[in-house]
Amino acid sequence: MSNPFESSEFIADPSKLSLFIKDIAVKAEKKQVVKFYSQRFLKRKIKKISLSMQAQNYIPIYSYILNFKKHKLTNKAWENIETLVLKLEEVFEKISLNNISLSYWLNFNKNKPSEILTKDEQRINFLINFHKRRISAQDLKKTIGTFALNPFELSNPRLKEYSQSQIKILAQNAVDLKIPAKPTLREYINKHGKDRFSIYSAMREELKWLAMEITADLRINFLKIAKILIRRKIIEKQSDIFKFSFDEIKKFNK
Amino acid sequence: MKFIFEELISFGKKNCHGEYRILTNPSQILNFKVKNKFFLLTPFLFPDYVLLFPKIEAILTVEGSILSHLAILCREYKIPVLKIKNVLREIPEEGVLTIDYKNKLIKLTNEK
Repeated sequence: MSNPFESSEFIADPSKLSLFIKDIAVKAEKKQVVKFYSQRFLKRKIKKISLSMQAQNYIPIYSYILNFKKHKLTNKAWENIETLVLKLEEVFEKISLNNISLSYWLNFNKNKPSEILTKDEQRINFLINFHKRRISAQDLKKTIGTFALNPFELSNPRLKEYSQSQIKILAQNAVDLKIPAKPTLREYINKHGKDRFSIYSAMREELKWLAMEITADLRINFLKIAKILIRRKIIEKQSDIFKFSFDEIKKFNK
Repeated sequence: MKFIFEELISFGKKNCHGEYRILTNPSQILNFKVKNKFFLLTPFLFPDYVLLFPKIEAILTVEGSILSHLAILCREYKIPVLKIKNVLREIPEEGVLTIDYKNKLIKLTNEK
């Protein structure tokens, strides 16, 4: 089986700086593909068994999501970035592992819809509630403020940075979506829901949400570094930071 | 202009016809206002397009697989997803298309 995820394409028009996030995702994906898929017959058989065993047990990834702790940002931007990158690598490894199991269950479940409310659907529910004036823009920013369009592109602003009119456009486009009533991942698992495809599909979104939050924190810290570089007269404006590679930025740390 | 497609997810087999738009980057959604349903042409199945679902008739993508998160959601909301060759740079950003399911063909025209 070939790799069906194509993580190399997951950032649209990546800036030079964001390329390192793409590299993290691709590296994590390759690692899992090597682990579970092989061209050689005997090895392929053994790996198939280990894939099946891996796919049966969703608990390790689910526990990881439940116990995930966000890194508390300090005033030291360089150190924050180092820790956040490690966290991001960890989350992308889980996403790749989760994807492997998801592809396994797809073979048994080609046309059944997911039984779990995904993070995307929850986010749209918030936008609909904002559009219907059940929640304010401030509430929206508190709940899904780290969301961004093309979220792994560091130069893209997060929803908490959007203007009121931009949020309105987002909400207007989504408002007519009829989201079916479904349990959240936690509710589904607590009720002993059995559909593994739904579970792995929902867990992927939860993990991507964690990666999105880490990316939002990375953005904050890169913008802090940009201010330092402006003071040192290395760049003129904050957005110039996205024109450097991650390695180039590391060299400015002195 | 005509080109063939491969179905990733499909729900109707009836030929359909309507306006299309090309979106190459999900950030474009922030400036995107449409009244009627449209066919979305995109290089990749970016998950952010879920925000446009109420307006999307079908998605025509150059890259992506049945396991892409957007494809999974499309299946749930009964939005067809078709895989096409990369013609996005050769065609206007807006126009009208017809999907001929029987012959697996997409035909682009300028008339509405």
